[in-house]
Parts: sequence; C-alpha cells; structure tokens
Amino acid sequence: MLVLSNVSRTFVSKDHTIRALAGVNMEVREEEFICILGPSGCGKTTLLRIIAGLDTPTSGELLLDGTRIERPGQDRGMVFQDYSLCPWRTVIDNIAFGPEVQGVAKKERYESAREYLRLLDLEKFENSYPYELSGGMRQRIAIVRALINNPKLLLMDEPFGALDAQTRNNMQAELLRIWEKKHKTILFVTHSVDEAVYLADRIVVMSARPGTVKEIFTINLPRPRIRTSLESNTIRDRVLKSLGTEIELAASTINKL
Amino acid sequence: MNARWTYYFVLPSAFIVLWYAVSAAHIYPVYIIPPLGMVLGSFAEQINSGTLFQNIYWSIVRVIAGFAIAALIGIPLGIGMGWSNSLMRLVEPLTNIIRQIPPIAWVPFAMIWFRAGVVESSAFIVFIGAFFPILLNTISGVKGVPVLFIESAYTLGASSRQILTKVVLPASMPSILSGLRIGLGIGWMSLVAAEMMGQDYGLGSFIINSSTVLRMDRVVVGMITIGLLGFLMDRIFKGFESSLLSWRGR
Repeated sequence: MLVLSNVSRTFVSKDHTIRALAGVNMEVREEEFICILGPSGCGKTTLLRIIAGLDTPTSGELLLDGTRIERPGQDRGMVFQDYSLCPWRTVIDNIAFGPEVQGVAKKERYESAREYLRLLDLEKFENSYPYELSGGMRQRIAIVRALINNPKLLLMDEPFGALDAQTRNNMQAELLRIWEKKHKTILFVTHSVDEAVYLADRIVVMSARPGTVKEIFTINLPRPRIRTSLESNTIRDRVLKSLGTEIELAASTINKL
Repeated sequence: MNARWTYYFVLPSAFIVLWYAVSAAHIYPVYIIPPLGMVLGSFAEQINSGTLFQNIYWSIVRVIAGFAIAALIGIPLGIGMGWSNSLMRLVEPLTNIIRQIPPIAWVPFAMIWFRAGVVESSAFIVFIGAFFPILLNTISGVKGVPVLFIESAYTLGASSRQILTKVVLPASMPSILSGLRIGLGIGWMSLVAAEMMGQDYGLGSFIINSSTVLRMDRVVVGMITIGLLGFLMDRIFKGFESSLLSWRGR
C-alpha cells in the first residue's frame, strides 16, 4: 500500500549540508506493523515526517495506494514523541479535532470520540484537560485522536519514549490490542530493540547517516509475545548485531567531526 | 477572616494609621500633606454632589473606548505579524518607531484632531497607550506557539485557516490576555495624564482643576479614586483571565 522509491533528503544550511536520507526504498503492506530502528541521527524521524507530508523529499517518490504523498492528509495519522494534545481543549475535544476540522456536527463527532474513549476505558476523563492526565494517558489519547480520522496509515515517532518502563510495556500491549481491533497499518519509529521485537511484523534497520534501509527482519512469532522467550532473544540478538555496527559507525563519524 | 485575607490589609491599614498620625501632629500645612479627616470630608462632599461619579463616568467611558479600539486593531494585527514574516517586515519598523513616542506627546494633535469630542481626544491617548503592549504581547504569543501543535493539527487535516483559529489563537491566548491587562493599566494612566491637559470632566481634569485653586485635599480624592478604580479594573481582568485560562491548571 505504501511504496517508497529512492527517497532522499538533504538539509542545506549556511555552513553545511547534511544528507539525512540517501535513497530509501521500502514497501509496506496492508495491516502490517513495521518498526523502524536506527542509530541516532539516521533520519528515522525525517523519514516519518516525509511520509506524514510535514517534510518533502529532495528526490524520490512516495506512493500511498498509488497516490503521490505531497502534503499532510487525513489518510495518514501521526503520533509524536512529545505530548501534542492541545492543552486548552478537553479530552473529548482533543479526540474530536479531526472530525471537527472536517465539519462533522458536534453530536456525531462526540459520539465517535466517546467510542474511542470506551476503547481506552477512559470514559470518565471525557471533560478533563490534558494537564490532569498522566503521560501514558495523554499518549493513548493522542493515538485515538489520530485514529478517529480512520487513516490508512498510522505513523508513530517514538511515542512511548518519554514514558517509564512499566507504563511503556502496558502501552505496547494496548497498542497491539487497538491495532488488531482496528486493522491498521502502523509505521513505528523507536530506539528500543526490545520494543521493536515485541511489536513488529517486520523490523527495518536503518544505516547511520545518510540513512538507508540496511536490513529487514521478519518476525513470525505469534502474539502476545513473551519478551523473555528464547525466540525473542534470538531475534533481539540478530537485530542488535545489525544495529550495533551502525551505532559504532555513527559514533566514529561523530568522533571525526 | 482567615490569615490570607489579613495579609492583604496589613500595609493599607498601616498607611492609613501613619497618615492619620502625621495629620494629627500638625507638622505640615494642609496643602503639603492634606489631613486624613479633611480628605474624607471632601470625598463625602464629592460623592454627595455627584461630581465624583460624573468624573468617573467620563474617565471610564474614555478608557473603555480607547482600550476596545486598541484591542480590536492590536490583536488581529499582532496575530498577522506573528504569523507572516512579510507582514512583520512591512509593519514592524513603523510601529516600533511610533511605539517610542510617549502617549502624552500625542496630546497636542489629539486636541486639534478631535476638537469637538468630549470622549474622542482622551480615548485616542488611551488607544496609543494600550495599543503597543497588546500588539507586542500578541506577536510574542503567536511566535511562541509550539510547532508541534501546528504540525499535529496539520496531520489531523486542519487547513491553514483552521490552524490559525483553532490552534494559534487559543495557544497564544495567555500572552494576548497579559497584553490586554498591561494595556489596560497603561491606558488608564495615559488617560489621566491626557485629561490633565484640557478636558472639562474626568478624574485627571478634576485633579488639575482642584490644584489650581490649591484644594490639595481634592487632589488626593482624585488620586485615590484613580488608584482604586485602576486596582478594581485589574482585579476584574485578572479574574476573567484565570477563568478563561483554567486549562493551564494553576
């Protein structure tokens, strides 16, 4: 459904030029859960932003169901690493933002927002403001806020990066539950190999800057996965090795600078 | 009365006691420090004759008129300048030069331009005083809206126009409101100064008229009224502000 061909992005500033992405090729299938791993600065976030339409590639092409991606659209939802809920809106008005800007009547958009609140089991926070919620709750709201538009593709940029380990594990399980229920295609950027092995159908390991697709791992383990199982450990090992060389490479480039 | 409330009254009460003590001691002539009793007497006199309310009425009408126009122009212009770099480059140099001119310096022209009006000339001075804090705070509010809010609204399908009304405006509201509050205060101060130069009514002219006949007790009545009214307006505004910004959770 999503096809990236030769996507490159170069940032040009006054004193230097940074090649963030150099020819990324990737194909994402319907209802697939993909995790993108890579050393810091490899352009994972840039790639996701390009797919979201928030950034444009210097060269290359992105096709979503055959249509070129050029700007943000409701067919792609995005969940950011930092808390992005509007602090002046109540929980329900945050979730209903997408339908609201599409001109859906208040009664109808509240009905569908409530449906998502029920899915999260957060009905009683309908009229709360974001400051009254924990970090985990805010990210769950941010996820359903993106889902209410019924996007083909859900893009997630280290959405659980700011959460503590316990909350993070719970959120991963909940995300899988939502993903299975709503039949979504998810592209999930993360730093954590553990998280990727727990979540993904396929793990895309990116190379150090300039980012390209280095290796793709297919994970055929049934869900719910046991984080400490032998199979999980074996895959984690292979992914870590692949990632490790890239991290060393990234570190040596930094040392050279 | 709880402890918190007592705090509020400590210094004002001490001030009144000191004032009373100084006036009872008869150290200074009444035109240097008018005695408390005398000032209270002329307060009563001004209230009974209705002149005080007449003066208050004109001052308030002028400040509301000038302040409202300043907000009506300052907020949209500030949003535009914060949002669009070209509008900023176009308008900023001129407004920044005009901003340096004290509101009172506009009095001669205000008097010529709005000769006929009882309200207009002073309201114009209020406008000048209130406009720039409103404009500058609105600009900095808009410039300070986190990019994250804007980008997430784009990914949810909002148009640029919707981003402006549904994200930028509410996100910069705290800054806009503090601009309004500062603008109201400066407008009130400029008003009184403007009224001191050629108005028949208003608290400023009341002070000037009283001082020319050396009724310093009345001058104090005018000063206290200005202080109390300004305080009251600020408190009302503060209440309005915190109810509007309850989402901040403090």
